[in-house]
Order: sequence, then C-alpha cells, then structure tokens
Amino acid sequence: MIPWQSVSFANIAPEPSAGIGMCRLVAQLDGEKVRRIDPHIGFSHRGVEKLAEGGTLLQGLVLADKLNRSAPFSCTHAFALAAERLTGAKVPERAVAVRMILAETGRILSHLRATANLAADAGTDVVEPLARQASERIGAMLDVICRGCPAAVFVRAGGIANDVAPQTPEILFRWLTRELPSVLSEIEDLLTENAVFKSRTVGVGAIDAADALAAGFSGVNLRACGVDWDVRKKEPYEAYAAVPFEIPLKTQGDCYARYLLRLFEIYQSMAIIRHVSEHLPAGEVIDPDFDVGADGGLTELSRRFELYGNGMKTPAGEVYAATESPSGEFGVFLVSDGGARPYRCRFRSAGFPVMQALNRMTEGCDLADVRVILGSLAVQTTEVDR
Amino acid sequence: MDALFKSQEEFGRYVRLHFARQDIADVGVVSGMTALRVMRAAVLRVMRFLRDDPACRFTQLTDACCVHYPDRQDCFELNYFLLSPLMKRRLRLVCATQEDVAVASVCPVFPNAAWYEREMWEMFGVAFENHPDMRRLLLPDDMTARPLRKDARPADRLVYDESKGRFVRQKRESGRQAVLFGVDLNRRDA
Repeated sequence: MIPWQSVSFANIAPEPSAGIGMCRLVAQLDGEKVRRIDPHIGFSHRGVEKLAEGGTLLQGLVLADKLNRSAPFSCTHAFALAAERLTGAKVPERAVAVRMILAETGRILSHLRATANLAADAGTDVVEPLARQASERIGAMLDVICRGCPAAVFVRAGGIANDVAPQTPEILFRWLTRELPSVLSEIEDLLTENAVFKSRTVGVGAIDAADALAAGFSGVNLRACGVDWDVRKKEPYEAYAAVPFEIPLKTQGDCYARYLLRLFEIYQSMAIIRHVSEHLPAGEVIDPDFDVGADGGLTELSRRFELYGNGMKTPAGEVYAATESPSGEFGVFLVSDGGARPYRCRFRSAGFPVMQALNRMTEGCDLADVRVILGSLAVQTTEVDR
Repeated sequence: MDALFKSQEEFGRYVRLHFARQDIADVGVVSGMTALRVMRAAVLRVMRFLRDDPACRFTQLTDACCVHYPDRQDCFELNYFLLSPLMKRRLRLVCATQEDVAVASVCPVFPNAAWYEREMWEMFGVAFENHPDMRRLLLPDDMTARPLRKDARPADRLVYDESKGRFVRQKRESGRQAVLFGVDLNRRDA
C-alpha cells in the first residue's frame, strides 16, 4: 500500500522561525522528512531602493535604518560609508571611534537576540527574558550615550550627528565589566552544554565551505564553515585595522557552530568596545562640509536648508561599500549622476542569499528542524525583502 | 596589493589577456574595485574564467543588480559583484544589455544568481536565457509594472464611480509632487 502521506505539502507561515519576520515556506514533505522547500519572500517588501532614489543622502540614511530591525545601525552605517566614499568626506577620529562603539554594541545586541531566537526555536524559552533584559539595558545605555537620538540614525555621512555624552567611557566600562558578562555566562550555562539544545543543533543544518561560498553566505554563517572572511579584518573600514581583535572560526558548519561563533564574537566585540572607549580621541565629530554649524544664526539656517532641503550634490560615480553587519556582509552600491539624489541605490542584504540556500540546507532534514536551521542563520526578512 | 599583481590595473590587464579584444570592452578601477565591462555574449565565459582561474578564484557572487539608463540604446547595465576570499579581492563585472535581447543567465557558474536574476527581471524587465526557475520573487504575482525602471509610472487608481455603479480605472498624477519653498524636490538637479 502506498502511504497516503508519501508526498504532501505544508505551508510554514507566517513566521517560520522565532523573530525573523514575515515569510512563507512551501515545504514538500515525504512523511516527516523535507524533500524541497520553496521560500516565498517579499511580504515586507517596501521598495526601499526606489524610495532612496527619490530622496537625498540624508533621507536615504533614514530609509536604511528600517532595513534590519535587529541591527539597524549596521545598515545606516553602510549607507553612510557609501555616501562618504562618493563625496570624499573625511570622518574625524572621534566620530570613527563612536561609530565603531555603536556598531559593536549593535552586533552584541543582534547576536543576543539571534541566540535567544535560536533557543526558542530549539525548544527553550528561558534565554528570551535574559536577552530581552540585556537588550533593554543596551537601549537605555545608548539613549544616554547618544543623548536621546536613536542610535541607528546617530551616524551621518561625514561623521555622527552630535557629540556623545561625556560619561560614555564610564557607562561602557560598567556595562562591559559588571553587567554583560553575567548575562553571557548565564546564557552559556543554559545552552552550551545543554543536552536538549545540543541534540537539536549539533550536526543539524550543516553546510560545507565550498557550498556556503557558492551560495553567497557571509558573516557568521560563512565563518562557521571555516572560511576566514570578515570584512572588518580583510578590508578594514573605520579604524578596525588599529584595534586588536580576533575572528573566531569553526569548521562544522552546523547550527551549534553558528551558535558558538555568535557567543565568541560577542566577547570580541566587547574587547573592541573596551579598547576604543579607553582610547576615545577628542575633537570634532563631523566633517565641517557636512555640518550645519551651531551658531544659531542666519548662516546655520541657510546651511540647514541647503543640506537638509536640497541635499548635498555628489560627484557622478559608482561606489560599493561593504560592512560586516551582525548577519553578514551588508553592502550599499550607490550610483550618482552628479545630483543630490542617488541615481540608483542598491542594498546588498546578507539574508537574501541565505534564504535562497534554505532549500539546499534543509534537504532531507526533519520538518521540526527547519525552524531551528532558519533560526541559526539569523535572517531578518525585512532586510531580505528591502 | 598581493604577491601576484602589483596593482588593480595589472590584475585587470591579466584578465583581459585571456579573452579576445572585443569580449572585454573596458577595464577600470572604480572606488578601489576592478570593474570589467564585458560584452553580453562573453559574460558566461568570463565568469567561468574568473571563478576557476587559479590567480582569480572568485568563488562567490556577492550581489547582482541592474541600473536603468532609459536614454541609452543598451538601457540596462547589469552589475555582478564577485568576491575572492582567497585572494582578498573584489571585482565588478558590468554588462550592458537591451530590453528585447536575452542575456545568458549566470546560474550555471554561480547557482545563487537565480534569485538575483529573478529580481532583475521583475523589477526592470531584463530577459535571461536558460534560467532554471523564472518566477516573481518580491512582488505580487499579478503585478505587471517594472517598478525600479526610471520610466515607471504609478499604476492606475481604482475609483468608485457612483453614476456607473462600479469601480473604474483612473490615471494617477505623474509622480509625487514635492515643492518646498519654490524648489521642486523631484527635479534631478535639485
């Protein structure tokens, strides 16, 4: 007798894995085994690339902020870098340092959330409150550091919006030495040697280095397969070349390796923040050409109109700026025809190729493992759909 | 740069040496990245060379996107971004194509081009040959507009006509009107 369930379809939607956003997976099943998965994306497509063509560089920055909800700073940061390479802005040292602090804080935040989501997918919700508590603490801390400005749009083409609060190094020091380590050790105690968590993640969703490269993987997902590629190290932007840190690597390429790498990276990010905040240079925070000034007079008003209303004219050309965002390489490709608005603005999202490779990664696995695999890849569909 | 090539330019010349003169129209360095301008018919061959040649080893297609220039005869410019982690090098392969000529899909060389090409087709209307699975990706299945083209117009609005007792199609005003203090913000040189 042919079993009735030999080939069946299942719609895994609207959120196939904890915290990734809207997406629909059409799975072709053979009993409990997945034969093929067809990811349907685009539910949160907002035409950001088209919108960016209609706005100035400053407006594009605010659009980029909405791309990745778990790591908004990484997107605005890449956009600012692309705008700076296009206009040739010189970012002051202090702004570079602050941007690195914000980028690494964002990485810690995003990795903590990714870990909590993976834990939830693997069947334990206990990490979620810890991660939420930690991210609320980070949010409150960034509020003080950025003086109330949302951290994601604190970055500007040419520097940062404002100087940071004077007590920034002390706040960061307290957070890095007193608060964050206890959260991390608690998460590690709960997950790293947890038999249930390991049984759901070790050996699950494994991919080898050649396949991962061909599939377009980047970031943690690529390094978990043993490919030593990190944009911060290999093509240093900002001042990453001057900061001592390491790139942790794993070779197993499975969900557990990705989980471990995220934890290891958090410690490296802590080291970067510690080093940068201890050597925080003094001085300007934004390139004078991009600054409206603060004299409160007519000059400031007219500068404000010129910069924020008409936007700054950019020389014609094409630039690509890649950054190491928490989910992988986030790149911005800007084409300018010499006007104030980009002729074409392309966002290279880290999750897009990962979603595409989901079919290969889940081939032959159990239906229950699909969400664990997807959770371990830390995809954000808002970034995939753009 | 590295042990093999002294500069990006030298690397570009190395690639060019392996092909007929007309295959690669131009080699340049744009914002620190080698940019190869490749003729449509040679894209697949150049890609395969870039991936397999021991001095290139571009094993990853990082991104692919299209730029629309409505005034040019070859109105689409396809940009393929390649990455070689081994050689620590990036490359942008540019190929100009027209609306009604199909360009070869690069899926046989880089399988992850499939989604990028689906996106370029639905957003711009670029035609691809030998694509394994051409469907819409981000947009609804019934959408016919090519939204990222420069000449894209907003879709007709459905307005309820009480005298006729049904919904009728109505043309939208072209584009967004944004005038601030006498400055038209939609003007390209504004």
